[in-house]
Amino acid sequence: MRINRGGRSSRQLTLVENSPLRSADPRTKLFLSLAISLVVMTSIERLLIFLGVYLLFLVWTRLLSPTVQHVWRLKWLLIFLFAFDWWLISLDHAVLICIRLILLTGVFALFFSTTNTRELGLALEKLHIPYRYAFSLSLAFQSLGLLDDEWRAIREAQSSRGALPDSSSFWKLVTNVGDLISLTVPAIVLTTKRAWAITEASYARGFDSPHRVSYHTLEFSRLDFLLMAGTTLLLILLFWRW
Amino acid sequence: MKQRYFSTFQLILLALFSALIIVAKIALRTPLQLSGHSGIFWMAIIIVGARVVPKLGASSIIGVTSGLLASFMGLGDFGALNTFISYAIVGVVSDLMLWILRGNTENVVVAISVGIFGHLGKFLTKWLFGIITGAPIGFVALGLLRAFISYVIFGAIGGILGWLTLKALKRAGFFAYMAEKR
Amino acid sequence: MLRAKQVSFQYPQEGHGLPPVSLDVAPGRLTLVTGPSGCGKSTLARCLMGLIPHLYNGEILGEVWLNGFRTTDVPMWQLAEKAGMVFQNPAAQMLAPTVEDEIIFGLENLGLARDEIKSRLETALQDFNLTHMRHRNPQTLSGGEQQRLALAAILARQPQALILDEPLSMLDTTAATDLIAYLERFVAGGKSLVMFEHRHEYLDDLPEVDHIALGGNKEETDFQQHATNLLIQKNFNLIIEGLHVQLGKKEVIHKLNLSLTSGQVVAIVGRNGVGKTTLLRSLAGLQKHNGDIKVITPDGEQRPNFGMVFQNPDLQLFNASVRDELLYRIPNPDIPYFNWLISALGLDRYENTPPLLLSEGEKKRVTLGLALMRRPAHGLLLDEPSLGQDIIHKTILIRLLRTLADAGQLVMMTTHDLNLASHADRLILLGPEGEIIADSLTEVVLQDSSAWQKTGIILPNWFLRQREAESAK
Repeated sequence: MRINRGGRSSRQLTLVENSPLRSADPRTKLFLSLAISLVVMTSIERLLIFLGVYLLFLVWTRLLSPTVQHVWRLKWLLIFLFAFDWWLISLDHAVLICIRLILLTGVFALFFSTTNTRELGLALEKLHIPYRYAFSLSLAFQSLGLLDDEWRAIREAQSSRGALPDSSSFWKLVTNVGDLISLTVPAIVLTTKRAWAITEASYARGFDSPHRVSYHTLEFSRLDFLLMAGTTLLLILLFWRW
Repeated sequence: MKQRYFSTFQLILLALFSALIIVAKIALRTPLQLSGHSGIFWMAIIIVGARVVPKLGASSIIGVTSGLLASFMGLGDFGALNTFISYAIVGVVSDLMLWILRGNTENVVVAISVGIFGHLGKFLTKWLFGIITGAPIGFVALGLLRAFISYVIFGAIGGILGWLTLKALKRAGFFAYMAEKR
Repeated sequence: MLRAKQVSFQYPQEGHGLPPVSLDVAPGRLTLVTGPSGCGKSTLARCLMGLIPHLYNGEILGEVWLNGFRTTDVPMWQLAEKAGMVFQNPAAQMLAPTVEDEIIFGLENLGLARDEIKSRLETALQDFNLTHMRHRNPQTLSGGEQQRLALAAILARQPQALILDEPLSMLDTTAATDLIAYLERFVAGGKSLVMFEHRHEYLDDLPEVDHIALGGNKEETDFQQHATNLLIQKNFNLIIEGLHVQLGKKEVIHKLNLSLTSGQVVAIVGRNGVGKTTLLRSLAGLQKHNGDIKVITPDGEQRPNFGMVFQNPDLQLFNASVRDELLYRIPNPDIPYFNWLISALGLDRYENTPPLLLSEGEKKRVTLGLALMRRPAHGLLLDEPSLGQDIIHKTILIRLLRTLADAGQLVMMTTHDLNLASHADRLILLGPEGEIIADSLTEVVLQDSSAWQKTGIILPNWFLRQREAESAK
């Protein structure tokens, strides 16, 4: 896997731009994801009903494909668990375990496949997390590509002078662990210098001003209220004693 | 300038160290196919971070931030929630260990302890995930025993690498450079 | 507007700081501050902006006044409303996910109304020719575009004064000339500008530049011209046939053919992204490629064996002293050769100093030493060796490269620095697609105006004047 200059990797969850959830507030999506995570505690009958509703929801939000991709990575584990549970306990239990795993594995794709880092930062601010924290988080995202380039350049530069330790086997790794500082020290130094350069550049542009305003804003829309209300209703129905 | 618990520079530095963890995990893979081997660079960076920003909570910030990054990057096989908790808990447990040991990671014993227990935090998440999903105990225990040993070993190696990196940074005058910055 | 009265600064680390300096910059004036590396230029720039003492530990004496405020008396954000600062490394000062967010960041901090932010954003994008790239990630822009963006982001805040810390040092001639044109307009608008720069030849055409020269250690090395201890090479030819490099979907080098002879310094010049570094990496064996690269000696064909010196010295330095760094992983080191090398590099007085504490120029020479300690059989490959270097470091570098060539080695370097390129024996110009546009003796290529035009490099006036003087001679 390779992180590109823009901080994206070939395995990064790609934003599903045409999903109706793209226009929803990140806080709503977070609530939605957490609520669905709770649903796994319910009984198998209710879980099966929920799974039907959830699948329809995924189709509507155009998130079925990324969710399936996510779950696909677990195919062997799921087959193994299903067979093992069926054999040792019961078919009901096997189905229950697999549905729980599928739900927990895919549910946060609702959030991460439909939210970009700027929206996450704005949501954190709305949740009263100080701007400095949201700002540093967004810098971390943006720096991925640059740091990745630097790490590769360090490896290359050290290998050109024969200073790249051999870590091709466990024992070589253990015996050469001290030599790994030829990678870690330059990486820490470069990262620190970058952090300092950003600090200076941000202060030179008035960072930390008490008058700061946000140009981009998040507003709760009708969709957000509908999603919140729908999720709450579903939770009540699923956990109601009937 | 307004005095705060973490200065802006420290926050940015911790955020970039978190990004470094992700980069190291992706770009600096060793050819080993043992579970938990990525913990070597992971724990080394946390140990260096905890010394470069010597305040309680520094490791937790690295943990939470790297957890968010990893979730957005789609890392981990058990979904974003599991990924986020795994990364975050490594930072939180490392902080807890530093608080309990009341030392800093320039001490090799502290560095190795933080490396082991911090890395075991990730193991704890796996275990909890097994419990929540209700996976069969025998299966979980068998897999977890192997994982436990592997996490301890790679956590310890990460601790040693972090300690060696700090020693090298000190000798190279890195902390004199840091003393200039607020 | 901007006034420093006997300002000095001492960092916590002993013997490191700025000796007392005074300066006065009136509105509509440009002040150029020059001086050798380590004389305190960057420290003075930070004192003027107020970053010192707000972000730095240490002791500041004297006073700096910015638009009527003493920098020690008001918070940093308030100083940033009066003045802006652009830094040396364009990539390192980018802090937003898109070009327009980069500009918006500074405007949000001013607390402006949304409409005002929008209007200033559009003006800045238009003025700096950034509109077509407004949604791009700043990290994907070229160095020149990034520096233009940094300037746009600062000037959109409408500061009364601008401080620039070596803004040209990482730019090619075209981007540097471009940036100077923007700065000229800023000063013409009645604003104050202070520029800290080694490459001051770019300011030669500007009217009324006030010049302050800071002192410093005039470093001179007792450099030995004779490469007695170097391995003298037999003559050889480096033959490159049909070199082809593909990076992802992009074809970076397309069927390149080149033949070079040992014992010369070769400069490769071209705009960013034309494949200069990729060519060096291929020769160093660090880049997968198709085609043949071979060395032909009187004794037969050999595998190329070059040492590579990278652009950024921080990629390689991690040892506790220059000595440890140079001798790291060298089996049975040849100590007389080491002693000659460390002296030839002008680093003998730093033998026991941690490399990380050296100046950028000195660090660069340490990495040059790393490559030479491994005694590459055929020579050296240097990627932008003069980046961010002052004239003293450049002089040392040129003399060392000449010594290596005299000893029969082949020295190849990529550079944007026309002054450095003019010291090479042979000059190769690469066109926009990485094709060879000119390849001949340096003095011949330097005079070939049509070849330069094809490269897309705009030759600055100071260089044209220098060239005319040379040809008149």
